[in-house]
Amino acid sequence: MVRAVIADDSGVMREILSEILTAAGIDVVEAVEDGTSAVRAILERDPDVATIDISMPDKNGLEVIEEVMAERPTPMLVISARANDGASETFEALDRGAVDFIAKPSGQLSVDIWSQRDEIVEKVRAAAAVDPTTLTQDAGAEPVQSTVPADRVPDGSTVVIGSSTGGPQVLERVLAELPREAKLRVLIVQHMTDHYTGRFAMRLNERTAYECREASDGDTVGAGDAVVAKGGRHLEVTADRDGELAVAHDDGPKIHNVKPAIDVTMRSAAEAVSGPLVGAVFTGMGADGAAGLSAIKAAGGKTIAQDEETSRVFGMPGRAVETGDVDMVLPEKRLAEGIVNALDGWSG
Amino acid sequence: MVRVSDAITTFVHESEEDIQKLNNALLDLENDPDGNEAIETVFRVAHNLKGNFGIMGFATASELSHAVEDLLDQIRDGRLEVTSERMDLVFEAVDQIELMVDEIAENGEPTTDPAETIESIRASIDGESAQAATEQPAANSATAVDDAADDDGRSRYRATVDVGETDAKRVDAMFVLDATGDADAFELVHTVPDRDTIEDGEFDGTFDVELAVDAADDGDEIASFYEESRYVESVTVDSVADATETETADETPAQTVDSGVETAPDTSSEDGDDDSDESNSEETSIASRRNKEVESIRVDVEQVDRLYNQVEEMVTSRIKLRKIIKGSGLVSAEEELEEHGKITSSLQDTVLEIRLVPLEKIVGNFPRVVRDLARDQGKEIDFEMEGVDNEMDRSILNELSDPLMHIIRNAVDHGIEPPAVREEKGKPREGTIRLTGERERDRVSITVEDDGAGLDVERIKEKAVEKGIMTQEEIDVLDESEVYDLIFHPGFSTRDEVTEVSGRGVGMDVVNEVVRGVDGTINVESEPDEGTSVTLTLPVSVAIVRVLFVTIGDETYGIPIKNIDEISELEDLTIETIEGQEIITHDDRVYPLIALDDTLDVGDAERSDDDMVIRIKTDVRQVCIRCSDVVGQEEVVIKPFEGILSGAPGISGASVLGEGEVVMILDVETL
Repeated sequence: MVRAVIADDSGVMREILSEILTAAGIDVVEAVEDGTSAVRAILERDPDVATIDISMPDKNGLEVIEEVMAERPTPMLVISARANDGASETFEALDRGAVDFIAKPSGQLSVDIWSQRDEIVEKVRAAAAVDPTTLTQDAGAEPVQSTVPADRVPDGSTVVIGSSTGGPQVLERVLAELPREAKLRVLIVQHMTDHYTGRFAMRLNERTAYECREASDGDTVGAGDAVVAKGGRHLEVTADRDGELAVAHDDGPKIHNVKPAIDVTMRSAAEAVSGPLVGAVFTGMGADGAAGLSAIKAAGGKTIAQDEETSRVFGMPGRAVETGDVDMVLPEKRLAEGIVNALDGWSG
Repeated sequence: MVRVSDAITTFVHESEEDIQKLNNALLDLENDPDGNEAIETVFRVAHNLKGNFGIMGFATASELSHAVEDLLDQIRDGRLEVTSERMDLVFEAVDQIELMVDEIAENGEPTTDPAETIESIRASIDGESAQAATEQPAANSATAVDDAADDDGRSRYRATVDVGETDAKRVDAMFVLDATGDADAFELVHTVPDRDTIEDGEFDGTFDVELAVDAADDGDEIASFYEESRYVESVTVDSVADATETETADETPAQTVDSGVETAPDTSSEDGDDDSDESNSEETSIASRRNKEVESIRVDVEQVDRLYNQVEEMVTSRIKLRKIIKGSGLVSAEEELEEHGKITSSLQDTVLEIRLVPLEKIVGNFPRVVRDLARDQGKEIDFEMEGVDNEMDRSILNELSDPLMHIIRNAVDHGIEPPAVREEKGKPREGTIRLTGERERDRVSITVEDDGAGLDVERIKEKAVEKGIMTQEEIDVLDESEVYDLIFHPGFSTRDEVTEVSGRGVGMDVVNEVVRGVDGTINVESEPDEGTSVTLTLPVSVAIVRVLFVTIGDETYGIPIKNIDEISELEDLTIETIEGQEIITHDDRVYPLIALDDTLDVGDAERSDDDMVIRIKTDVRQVCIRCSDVVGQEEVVIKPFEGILSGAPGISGASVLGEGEVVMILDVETL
């Protein structure tokens, strides 16, 4: 049974989260209301997962995460309020070692937290499945540049990357390590709520050499551009002409219970992309991306999966490997290199 | 959906606590605008409120608290100043939030539409720029100021329409106004000068029209609407960023003068008066909002565990008892019964302890009430509370809420003088009211003292005579503290002046009754021009009292043993009669003898020589009580009477005995 600790200064949130998790068969071993108790409860109870509110008295969520990570790494989910600085604090929390976040309803729409119960349970389960030993690996490592000269990557190459729990850090690293001169066209599908995907794209833009933005409907992705699929919409590649990929939003049903789904983007890319194509699936719970990689493979593209050792959750990459359609299984720090190598001297 | 309603209960309780915290922190902030701690508390609590509304999906309430949070954010960052008007706005918003929480508690969802308040807050946030915009309107252009439109879907614009100073201006204006009324896109709110004045032609060719439009519309549409009218010479459209401020025109005359309409200032100040009347009545309703009963208590897990263990012991003990009785071992049964008694009484102690809640629970909103009342009456009052963490039984506290409110209200209304009067008297402009809670063994005293005018002894005397409570002769011999006691006399209070406090007419007589009903006492001290202090002394816990049962005729009554000094047989005492009153002398003190049969009107009681006499402790009341017999003692729970029976002299309540028999408990002080 998954054991969870809840830390939130709102009694309402503590109660609702407890109810939701308990109803889903997760054992809430303790619910605390301030930062000091949060650190104490996590270290004492050694839960599989903890949810951490950012705004708490005496020690905020960021400090809690930092202390826990220093003392005994434990998978933690940040409870994020969207308003004001919510999004940037959330990414800050991810930087400090939180594996994922749950977005609190903002109240802007008449949507209450009960409507998010499935998503919450899924995220908590995914976080609980994280192997704590992967949490500290390579933290803050310097970007490793590919040994392959970028000029051997053919023009008009496309990379489609899908990731989920634990993915933002890996994506940031990989995108930073991909040489700008390779002028890749990068499509990123990270399972993330709307409103955060935009902020995430901005972050990647600031921290990597790629021109990164949240994909908009009818957008075109040129050489050296990276787009992040918008939360709540599937991202489809509709055409590849004049060196630019045309993309569109698809408001169809969730696939694998997620939206954006990696499979949608990868399948459409396999169909529409004419040049060299690489698909990669990183850490995450579930099966999304496996079928997408197979489609890319079938269309003559190359496929990569993150290895079990470095994946926080070896769910999606594992399922992809099981299909037999994965060309390379690589640790986190060799993913960028692998992508470039796959495109090296592409014969197509 | 049981689960959801559980969350709602938590939500309502937490929100109520937050609202009270918010109110008090806001008061701190108002008193000390630079206080970092206050603003941080205010901000954190507002944030939590907003978050909880969001979680629960109450969008409108979340938006309102979001607006408050944003305004507070501006204050925190020093971009906005703490002004009384701004604080009024925040308080108004907090009241509305409270109302919405009440509605959620009642119906599961809020029904109040906070759009207007949100608009006012948003307007206050960008008040500076909006005001600048209205002061320098560019002719023939529509200045659409980004305002609260995003939040409530409606925004307000003022169109200054010039139909030209012609003979036909009256008719032209009416055409324009009719067309405005017919337009689908906007709603005519009001005009300056008012419509009658315009239709009478008493204006100089220019008038203002205030319009409410959907958010999607902007000033341009309004401008073109009027520009297209052949009756209009020119038009200026401004966003009315702050509807509230504009309507209470007093502080912002510039906004109404800028139209250049001669009659505008008059009319608008009329408007302003109307509105301020309205807001006055609103403030009164704030002051009179109901006092909530303490509906939930927080319990230490330890206490619950202890409780559980005790219950377990009781169950075990019961099993043992049954076995013993089956085996007819009556001696052991008695022993076990003793054990059972011990468990019961420790169980009792635990439960009583759990029922204790801090005084703060009911006085927590007093600072806010005093603030509103003081502002309403133009008084300056520093209200302080001390010792409000002292705990009392929940049921006693609930009873006290209205009386305390009344005492506080009295202190504000009649105690503290207006600032000018205080200055004349050589006192600081600002008056002080202090509420102090103190625990002394098993009693808690609550004192409300003010440094105001003090009780007017002559006025009280006059009024007492006027109301026929006493004759002039009787009054003349009273000393001052006896005069003060007159205010507790039923019929002394003028009910009409107090009904609005609690909505159910509380006078000092009722305060007195309530306090006595929970086995408390009340004391008033006053010094002319120095102030008044009212002290309530109350038991910490409900009355589980050891009483002596006495009979008179066939009836049985209880007298609390703590009140009794001695029990004697009548025949052992010497009874004298002075001025028709039987008395007993003991230790050189004279004790009037009260015969229960007379006092309680028990007709068939036969007096005999073996009647008993109970001497009451002198600090309670210097009397002896004559009854037929004394029949034993027992620990009982006294239930104070409520409603029609409350305040019945001589009776403090009733107790239900084991067999379901109800026994009246005598209140020897009022017998």
